[in-house]
Amino acid sequence: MPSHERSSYLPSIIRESLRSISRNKLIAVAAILSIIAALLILGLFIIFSVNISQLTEMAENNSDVKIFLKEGVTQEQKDNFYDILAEDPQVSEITYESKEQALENFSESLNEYSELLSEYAGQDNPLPDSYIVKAHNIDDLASIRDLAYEYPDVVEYVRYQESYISSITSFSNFIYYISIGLVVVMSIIAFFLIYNTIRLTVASRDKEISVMKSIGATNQYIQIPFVLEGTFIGLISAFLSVLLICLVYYYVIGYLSGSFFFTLGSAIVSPENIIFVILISFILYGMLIGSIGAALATRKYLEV
Amino acid sequence: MIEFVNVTKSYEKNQADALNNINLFIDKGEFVFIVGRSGAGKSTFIKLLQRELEPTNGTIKIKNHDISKLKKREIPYLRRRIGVVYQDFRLLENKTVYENVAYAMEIIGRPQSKIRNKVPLALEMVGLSDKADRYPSELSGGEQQRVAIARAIINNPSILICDEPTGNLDPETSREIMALLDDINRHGTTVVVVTHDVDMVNEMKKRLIVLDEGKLIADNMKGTYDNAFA
Repeated sequence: MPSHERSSYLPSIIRESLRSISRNKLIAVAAILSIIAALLILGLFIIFSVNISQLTEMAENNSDVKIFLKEGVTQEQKDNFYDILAEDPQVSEITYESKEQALENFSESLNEYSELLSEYAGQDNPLPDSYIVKAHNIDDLASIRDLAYEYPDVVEYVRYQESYISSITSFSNFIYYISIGLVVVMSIIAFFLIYNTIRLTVASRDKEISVMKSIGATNQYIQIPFVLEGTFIGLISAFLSVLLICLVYYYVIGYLSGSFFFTLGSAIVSPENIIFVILISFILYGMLIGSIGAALATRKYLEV
Repeated sequence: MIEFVNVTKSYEKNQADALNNINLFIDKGEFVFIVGRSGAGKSTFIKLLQRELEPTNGTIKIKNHDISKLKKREIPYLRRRIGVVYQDFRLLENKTVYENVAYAMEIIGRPQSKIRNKVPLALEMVGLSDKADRYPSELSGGEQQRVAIARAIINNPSILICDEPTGNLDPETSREIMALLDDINRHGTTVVVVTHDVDMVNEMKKRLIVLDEGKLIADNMKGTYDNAFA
């Protein structure tokens, strides 16, 4: 065939695969619904783990030990103690909060009742000076606390919230492994659904395939419409799943903000930030699982 | 054009050979009948030519090329040079007459402009110009077989193989189909007709090859079945 002639190959295979989907509507719809179910679980777990990890991160960033210093400690003692803390490799950040600063922060947090504290300003300020110490790894906060207690002539008391941090960490690890496991299981299920769907449509076009082969169609030519069909099914499922996930997510956030859980609102990742990631990953996932499932399903049929 | 050298095909070890040591040569432009009872090896013969099967022993050459040496991906190109017509027509029911014929050009990547030119000519040759938009189910058996023939020759194969082409047709229609095949043969295509329709073989007086239990037992020019064993 001279190369300047436009081949009818591409338009005709796209036409064929679209025809095939509409011909086998029922089977295709069943596959789409099942993949949507799989993707919904996948998506909810993505959202859940992203939120949990955001929560953990927030907790980690806000986690610190607050070392209250004794009344009457000299500037030199303070500086020496600062150096001791700064030399500890576990420590990432040290902030000094003077008693004046502490009073100011406290009174700010009281908003309209801040007047109540006015008489404590100046010499009568009962609040101590303190160091607020953060660690690279929140698990090290406990040993920083222990370090501080080794200097009882400087340190009055160390405030440290232990249980809250470690339980979030272990909970998020647990969710992480559960979601990876579920994603794997769901992928296997979705893969076999596509595989079976395409095998059924291949079987329903058995006669057509034998005609194509006897006329001299190449295996790729016979295979491509089925692979496209699988890819389309994956894509349709991906888009519908993203739509459903958006609806669910907005609904849940709406519900939460109307309830007394509202304080959690700031910890929830906003949908705009996460939908794009979900959209891209669902599309890739749908296309991959659809095309690979279909390719394997047809390959077996095309021997001879 | 077609050459069988010591071709044997057996499906299972303990069974009799489907084809046993067949030697034959069919020249370019010939019209050949291959006859035999069911089980004589006729279907095996066709499947070997299309490389649906490979011979257990011996070589099969088409246009002097040993087709057992073809790689898997080259097989479709062999099949494009061999048109095949079946007893059960094997038309696609959801396509019109025109689409069924055009389909054979589409799947080997011919451009639409060529397809639009050529399909009407093929339909004219088989006498179905006025039925281009009909579906196979709306046609008689003879008409369906004409569509199948148009589809088989649309890509200008050098060989046309017909597997019991008149097996489902009445004698009058069969005669018309044979006349059409004869016409195609006169345009230069090598035609091989596998059949057990003895009356028609006798009427056509073409080269006759007789298979029986996998063996080639007669090969006569201008043969009739009656004197094939003489």
